[in-house]
Amino acid sequence: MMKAKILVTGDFNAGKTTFIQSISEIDPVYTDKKMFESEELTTVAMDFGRITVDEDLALYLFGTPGQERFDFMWDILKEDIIGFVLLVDSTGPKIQNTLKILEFFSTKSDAPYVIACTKQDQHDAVPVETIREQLRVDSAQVLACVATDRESVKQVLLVLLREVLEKMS
Amino acid sequence: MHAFALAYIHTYTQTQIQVPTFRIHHMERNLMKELINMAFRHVRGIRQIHSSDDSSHISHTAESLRDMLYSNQMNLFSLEGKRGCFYLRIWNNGWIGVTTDVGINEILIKAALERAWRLLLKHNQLEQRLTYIQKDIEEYFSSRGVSARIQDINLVMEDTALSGKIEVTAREERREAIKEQLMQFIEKQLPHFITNNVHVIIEKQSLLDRITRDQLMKIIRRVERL
Repeated sequence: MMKAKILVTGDFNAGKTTFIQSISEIDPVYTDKKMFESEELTTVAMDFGRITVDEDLALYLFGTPGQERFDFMWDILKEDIIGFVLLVDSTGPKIQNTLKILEFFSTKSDAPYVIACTKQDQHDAVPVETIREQLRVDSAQVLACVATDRESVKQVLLVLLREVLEKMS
Repeated sequence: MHAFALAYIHTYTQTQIQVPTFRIHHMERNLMKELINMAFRHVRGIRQIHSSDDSSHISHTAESLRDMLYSNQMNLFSLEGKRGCFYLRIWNNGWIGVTTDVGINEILIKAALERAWRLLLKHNQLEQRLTYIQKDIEEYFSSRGVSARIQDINLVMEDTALSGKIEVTAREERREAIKEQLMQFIEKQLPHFITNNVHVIIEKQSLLDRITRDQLMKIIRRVERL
């Protein structure tokens, strides 16, 4: 079976687990742990979701752990990806951390990527245009996204998949 | 010591097998002569093998010798001569001249011919095996769980060496390991008298190695329907 793999990455609390949860046809496999100082969960290894196309083909979504101390997993998860989605928390974008993640994956992989600004439904969300300017990334599409909304996640994935298609042409 | 130039060994014409993804060339060579020489070299006491390629009967003689060797019918040649000098008469129209140390007898020379036959047989088996080498390598990768894809095979089969190159794409981190595994695999295919001069080139896997356009279109249509 051919397993096309897309990576969902981004800084801590950017919404990676939620993004995968919204689109996956199976209950995603989580490796979330409760953080010591709060009731929030954080991913410590990876998230995993799947969209089956037919009996010979499936799209797999892997979410990276957001915390820096688990970044050794990035090297493993980046293998064989056809593309990646870089999520940015619009309610408090951590530009330097996001750029660091972007640099890692874009230098170690030839896969196309898109940047999705999550939590755009929140009242304190920074506009996509502002985040685009702060990131100073001209070569990739920067999109608005609400990770809890399946349609929004679907649109981000479709933009990425069409980027991959274009790169293959 | 006498010298003889009486046997005429066939020069094989070039054979080229071409399939879409790989090529194996069989270079113009004097295979029979080379292998018989090789066989005799391994027999103590044999000093020189004498033959000539300028006879009009060269093909006929070689065919006879080859038939004899492949069928392992050693009674199809006769051995004449005296101490240190022998004529090997091949069937009815070919000869090989052999000069030896004093004391070497026809039994040793027959043993050398049998050895030549074995070498030819192994050489022939290798040529057959090379026809399926791409499939064999793919099965080898699959059995080892190696994520690598063959891009091109261009091999040249010579008398005593297999040369050319095999191009493979693989993950960057696995390049060296896959190269070593593939070299070992090729080494195991070759009989001892064939030197492995094959170059294995490992290129980094590209996006196209991971997914085809058709597969991607299917995924896009599936996501659109979600």
